[in-house]
Amino acid sequence: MNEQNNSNSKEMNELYSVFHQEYIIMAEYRMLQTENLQGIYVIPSYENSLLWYGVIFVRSGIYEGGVFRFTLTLPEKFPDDKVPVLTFTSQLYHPAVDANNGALNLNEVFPQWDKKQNRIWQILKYTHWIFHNLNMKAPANIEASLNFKTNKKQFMEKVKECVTSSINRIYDDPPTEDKHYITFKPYDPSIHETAKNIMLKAPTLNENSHGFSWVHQGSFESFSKEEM
Amino acid sequence: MSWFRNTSLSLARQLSRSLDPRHDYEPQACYSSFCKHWQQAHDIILKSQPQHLHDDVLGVVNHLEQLATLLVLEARAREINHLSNPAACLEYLLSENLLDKLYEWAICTGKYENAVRLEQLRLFGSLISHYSTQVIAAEPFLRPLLKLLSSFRNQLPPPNLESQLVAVLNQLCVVLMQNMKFIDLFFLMTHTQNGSQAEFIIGRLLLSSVHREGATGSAARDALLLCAKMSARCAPLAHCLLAGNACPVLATGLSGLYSLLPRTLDDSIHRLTPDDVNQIHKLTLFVDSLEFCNAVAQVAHPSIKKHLLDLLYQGFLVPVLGPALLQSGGGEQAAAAAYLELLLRCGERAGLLRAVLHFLFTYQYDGLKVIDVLLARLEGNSQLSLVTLSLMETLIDLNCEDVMIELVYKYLLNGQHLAPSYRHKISDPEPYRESAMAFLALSPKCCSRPIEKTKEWVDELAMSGRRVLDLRRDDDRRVNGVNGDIAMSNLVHEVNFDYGNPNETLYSNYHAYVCDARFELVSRTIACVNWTAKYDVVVSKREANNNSTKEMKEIEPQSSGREQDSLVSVCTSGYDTLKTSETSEKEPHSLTSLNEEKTGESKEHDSLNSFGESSGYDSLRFRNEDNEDSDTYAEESFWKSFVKVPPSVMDDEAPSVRSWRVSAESIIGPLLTILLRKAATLLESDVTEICRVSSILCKLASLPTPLLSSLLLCSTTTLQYNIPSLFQILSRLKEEVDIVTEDLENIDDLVDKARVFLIQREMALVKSRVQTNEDSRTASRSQRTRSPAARGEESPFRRVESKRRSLSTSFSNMFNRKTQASPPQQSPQNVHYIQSRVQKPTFTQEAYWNQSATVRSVLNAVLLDEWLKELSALAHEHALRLSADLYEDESYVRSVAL
Repeated sequence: MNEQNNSNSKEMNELYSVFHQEYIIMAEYRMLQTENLQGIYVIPSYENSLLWYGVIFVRSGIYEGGVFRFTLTLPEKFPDDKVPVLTFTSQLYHPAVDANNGALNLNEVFPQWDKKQNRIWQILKYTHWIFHNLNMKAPANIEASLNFKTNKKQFMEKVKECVTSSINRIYDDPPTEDKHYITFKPYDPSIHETAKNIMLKAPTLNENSHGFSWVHQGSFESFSKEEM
Repeated sequence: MSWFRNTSLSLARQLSRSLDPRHDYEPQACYSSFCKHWQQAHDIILKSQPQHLHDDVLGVVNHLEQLATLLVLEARAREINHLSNPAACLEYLLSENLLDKLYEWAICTGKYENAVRLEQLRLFGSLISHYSTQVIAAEPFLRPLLKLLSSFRNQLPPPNLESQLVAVLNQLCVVLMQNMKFIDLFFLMTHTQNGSQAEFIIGRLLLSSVHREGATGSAARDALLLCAKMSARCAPLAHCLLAGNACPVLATGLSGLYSLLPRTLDDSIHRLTPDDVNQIHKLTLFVDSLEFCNAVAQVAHPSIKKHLLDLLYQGFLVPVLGPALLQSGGGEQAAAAAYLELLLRCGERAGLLRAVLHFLFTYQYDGLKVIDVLLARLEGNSQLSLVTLSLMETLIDLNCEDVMIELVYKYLLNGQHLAPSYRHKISDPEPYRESAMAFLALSPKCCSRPIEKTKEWVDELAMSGRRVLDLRRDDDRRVNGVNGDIAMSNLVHEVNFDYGNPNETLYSNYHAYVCDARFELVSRTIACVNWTAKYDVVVSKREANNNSTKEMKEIEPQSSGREQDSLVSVCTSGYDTLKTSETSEKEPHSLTSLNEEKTGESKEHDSLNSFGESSGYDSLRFRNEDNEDSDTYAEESFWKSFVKVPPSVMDDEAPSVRSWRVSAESIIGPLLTILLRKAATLLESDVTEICRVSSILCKLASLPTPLLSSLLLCSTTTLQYNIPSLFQILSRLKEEVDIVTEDLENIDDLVDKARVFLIQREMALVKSRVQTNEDSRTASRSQRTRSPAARGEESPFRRVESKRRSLSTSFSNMFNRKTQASPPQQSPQNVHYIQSRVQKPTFTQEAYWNQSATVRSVLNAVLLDEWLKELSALAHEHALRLSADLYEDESYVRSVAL
């Protein structure tokens, strides 16, 4: 009997850890939302909260105009495990990005994952950073790094190439069935106009559900404000 | 007056309704018939003699009926034809001064006067409803009407006449509401010894009927409410209503109705439900009157509102309600507290609520505040204590900052309850995250029995013929598409719950607790948006006394420089290093860097504030300077772009000298002290009380105010040693339970029984609740048709029957509601089950659990296990909310609320 109980409580604990992990991931997501990362959009996969789909719109610099897709993979035991892996799924010619598998080299910046210090938004911020800081200490793409330092002209050409290719492939069919995979459609006012207007409109909260206060600002004393 | 119900008359009335203007209306015939009827009536009037007055009256009334019928027919025809026909009959009526002649004759009809007046009122009624604006300013209409109305000034009409009079007044108010320019016509000069003054005749007459029961009373209240509404836009009307004693009439009426309420209530009532209100007639009247006063206060001219509230304060709250609360006798006190609780639920913010709350929290009898007296009654486990707990719950549910300051925050503001080193950590998400797991670890050992085992046990019972859990009716046998026998098939391991299925228990469903916690926290966050402070920092004493809120205010200006993305500078700096780029555009760049300079300062300031007191990582902030050296490696400069923010040093006040002596009560306040004390005795308590106490504590814990939630939820926060945290209390309980149940041989059996008992209780409540919800819905509908006062506003019990359809999963919700008056539905299966219950005390009865302290502690341990899940879910949600600095950001509320 006792054994059974133990196995059950083990099962329950596992379940609770799943919730615990989900909450940590939600908190990470919340934090990056308030970080206002410009041009970067991420969303956890519908099926698996450890896999995030992302896309970065580079708004300035030599990669300007590029729309690069990437995935972010959190380790099984996040946040206690290895450093999350960021992989560009769009072709990206960059000193910090492995040309074979698209992985962004994070080793230098995040030698290990310290759950007290490190946050996912920092990885995303670094992802943004590399598009404007290309001088890599530990390049993942040595050829690109060399070109960057010695043959800027050729480097620029390759960059242009991958920017153009990234733009051309924006509307490609999704490689997965996942409901949260980020897809793009050409702007169609009949479909998008309403949504756009909603976004542009200042949100209004439901007034009816509000609590109330007759406290004078800063006094912390009840009924210190006259009515109305 | 039986002759009056003459068949021919009612026939005529029916006729007027059944006549179809499209077929039966012929303008010329109608007009000549109208003239003829009047000429005949007029002949009778002229020749009228006292000897044959009876016949005369009968004749005239008969003709009047016909006149009214024809008028209505003409009016309806005009409505259909869009007013193209001339209103010949109406014009004839006005030109002949018919109404005046009728009035003059009526006052000579002696004992038949009221009968004729009734008929006059009917005629006026049809005219107003069909020709409102055309007649209201017409002299031949208005003068006799005013004369007729004035005749009722000093004389109460008999009931049937009163209801007709009120109906006419009501119609008049509706018309005036739409055309307020005519309102002057109804101010009559009255002459008294004190000189002459204007009187608003409609208001004056309505006041004598507002306290009537039934349709007349509610029509009068509706009409008076319209007058109150008009008074807001018409100062002379406000003046007249004030002079006409409108406020005292309302206030004394309320006091009068209160004093008629039952002095004690049934023992089982802990909180008055809509059913209770409907069943206790006097209570219905009181609530009607209360809502009326409330509505008047909301819409009337400020002078009326003020006067009414003053009168209610001085004439009802202080002399009537207060003494009722303070009288001796537990039953009486409980009843008074239950009425007060109802009053709080009916009151509206813009209406009576402030007055009532102000009274509760500031008025003193013999130096004792009312609220302090009430708080003292929380002790014990009597009906009084339970009613008072409900009262506290209602107060908390108001989401009123003033209430919460008085009950909780004023004690916690200075952080005296916290060990000094924790005073600046209350908004740190990490402790919440940790305690979310820590609460779960407090689950009593005996509760680790797998719920599948309980299900098996139930199955075995079912095989032997005792279907303890089968409460379903035949039509909803299908549970989740599966023909499952027991409503326990949804265990926490499955993710797809069917929350719409009332037969599915939410017992032990952690996911449901999580959803509920989110709902609670988000709705409270929305509700507290209007508060003046966030209660997320400890305010040093000095500051609180000086009324200065440095820390509190510093939170505010966050948004100013916030728009600017800190990344902008990073981009531009990186961009500088790559001057070769051809795609560059100088303009935007210089623009952003300009902006950067401007906002740099506020940005820095911002990060200091928002990150001053959280965990390690927060101290790293992105720096905005863009003097990057182009030779540095990207990897290195990345971290350099963050600026180390020194941990904010706030002067820790030396621990209060008092704290080692004073009781917990004076540090955290009586409410929290008592609730925590009750939580500490949870193992011995009765299920109802546990549910109530845990529900209140969870409501307090779901307020988005770290000052309070850290005290209730954080397991690691160290409090001053004489104040136990909720976590400490619950861990002690776990130890106790584990010791008690350690050597118990039938512990598994008892746990199964306890679970089934609770699930059964939950199911019974869900069923009765579905029904009560329906009841209250119809009740509020009928209320609405009766009074426009309620229209547009929520039903009076909105705070009882909360409108959330989503989930009501908090376990206190699941098991609470003992007080619902409606019995569970008596389906055939139920009858069987109830019969078996009668035979001997089984575990499905509360009595079973009272047989010994051990048995009770097993039941309560199972309850505790559920409560821990609820608390854990709340802690998780708080951690989530606190983990981003702009957590009050509306997008959070919206994203999460979806």
